[in-house]
Amino acid sequence: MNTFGVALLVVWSLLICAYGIAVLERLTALGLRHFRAAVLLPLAETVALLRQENLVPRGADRLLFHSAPLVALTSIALAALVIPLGPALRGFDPSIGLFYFIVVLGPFVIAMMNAGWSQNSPEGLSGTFRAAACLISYEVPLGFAVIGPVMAAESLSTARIVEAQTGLWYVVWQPLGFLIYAIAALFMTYRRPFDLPQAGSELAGGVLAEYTGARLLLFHIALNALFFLLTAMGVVLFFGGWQGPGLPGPIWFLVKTVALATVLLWGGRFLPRVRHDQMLSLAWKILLPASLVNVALVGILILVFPGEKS
Amino acid sequence: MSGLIEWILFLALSVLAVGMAASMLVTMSMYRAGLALMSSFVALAGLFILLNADLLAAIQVMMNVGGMLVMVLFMVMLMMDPGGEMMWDMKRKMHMPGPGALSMTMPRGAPPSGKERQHHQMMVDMAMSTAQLPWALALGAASALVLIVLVVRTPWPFSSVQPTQDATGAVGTLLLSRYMLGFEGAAFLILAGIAGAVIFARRERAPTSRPAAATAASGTKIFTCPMHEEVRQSGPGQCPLCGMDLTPATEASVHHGEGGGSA
Repeated sequence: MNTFGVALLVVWSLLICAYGIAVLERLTALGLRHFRAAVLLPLAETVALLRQENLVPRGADRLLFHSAPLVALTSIALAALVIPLGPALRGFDPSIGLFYFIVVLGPFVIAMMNAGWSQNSPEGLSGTFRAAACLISYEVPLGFAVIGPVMAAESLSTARIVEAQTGLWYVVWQPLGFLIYAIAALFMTYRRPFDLPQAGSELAGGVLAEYTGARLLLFHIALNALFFLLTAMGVVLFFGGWQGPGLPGPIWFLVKTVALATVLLWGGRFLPRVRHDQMLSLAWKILLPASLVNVALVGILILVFPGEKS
Repeated sequence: MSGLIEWILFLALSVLAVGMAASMLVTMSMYRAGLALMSSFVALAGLFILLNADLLAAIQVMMNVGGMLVMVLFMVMLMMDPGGEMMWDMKRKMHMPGPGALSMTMPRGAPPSGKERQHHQMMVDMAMSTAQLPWALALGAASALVLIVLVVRTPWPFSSVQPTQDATGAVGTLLLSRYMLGFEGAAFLILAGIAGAVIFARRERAPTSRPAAATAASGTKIFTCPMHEEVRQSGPGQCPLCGMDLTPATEASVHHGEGGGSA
């Protein structure tokens, strides 16, 4: 019964977070003057999508087409369990928490690629290959970027990483790691400027080109919730999680996450969409060496200032 | 009670692992085959969790989800028939039920004459099972039997050691102390493999003999790149932008280029 309660709580909070991210995205696009439109538009879109007909394209691989949104949401809900909202406020805390988070998000990429592949359209197929290119771009830099906090906290547990940042947030002495993590998070959720698997104007939605109605809504929820989770994990890794003076932990956590999400969404709007070859050379020629340098720097700093570890 | 649940989970995961491996063999779509193999490995990861090996399970999922996906894509891209999609499509259009390989068996007997011949030929082309199928089945069943007998007859040791809570730390310590040679050796081998791949994939910079002949024939002709019209030089060579061999510029493109330059 307790497990059921946690599951229900996670799903509901994910829905609310997805809505919050949708509002934030509109706010960064329209500006604060259109606050009411930004708040109402996601709701209107939800209703419109729910009223839309559910089309399955001719010649689609039905099994993959139907299962893709469910796989995406499942993997995100499982990943949400290890985010610590407060000192004792999380789904569960395995000793390999951070590793679990990255592993469980793997099937999300599969779901996006299945979505593109199964719909039997050239746009979807191009989107599938671009999603795969995204995967091989962000996976290695992301892994190396999160090694920094793990080295400093000497633990993979998300709660322990937050507790280790009591004195000093990791972003202060690992800014390079944070920068790489932020870029990888934009990659992973197909946000600007790395939205080429969806590429609204160019591929008509890419991997989601043939999706309509409730399934498309599920994908939008999944993508927004994933963006929230990745910024939340960024707060856990680099901005001291729930810690802060005065206010209770979960409030601090939410404030930091919303601030980080706003900065990422707003900053991404100023950059043009990155072409796939530019994306690959950015990931492998700049991000990967930079992340290796970051790991070396963090190691040296830990050796030089042993006091900073705890 | 928890023992019973463990048994049910074990059976379900085992059936899933074996069933997915089997469906990888019989499906007509390369993409689905890759996904089936991936699911089989993920079910194996579930078995690891039942054995209290969480770290191993996580590594299993990560390696197989990301790695297998890229491998499947390479297979799909390298095949002329994209991912078996052609055969998968034909099967769909002919309304054949069931998994592809089982519904598309080799037609028996001599090829018929006349109009039926084309259909027969198509069935031969599409058949995933061949005349050797019975032999292969018998061989596979025999090896499975041997393996099962081995598993049942072996006196497996039972460990009474409690599973450690922090397996990650223990594995890390072991990898960098007792098994350091193997660990670093593997890393070095992989690095050598990457370096070798990069060297093989490098673009050839040495001048080829073909442009040399062109020089002899055409004195001081203007050469341009087929992809980049703005590149012009008086002799043959490689394009500084993309590395392609330069070709002699035609009159039209020369005029076009000059016009563009003055405007």
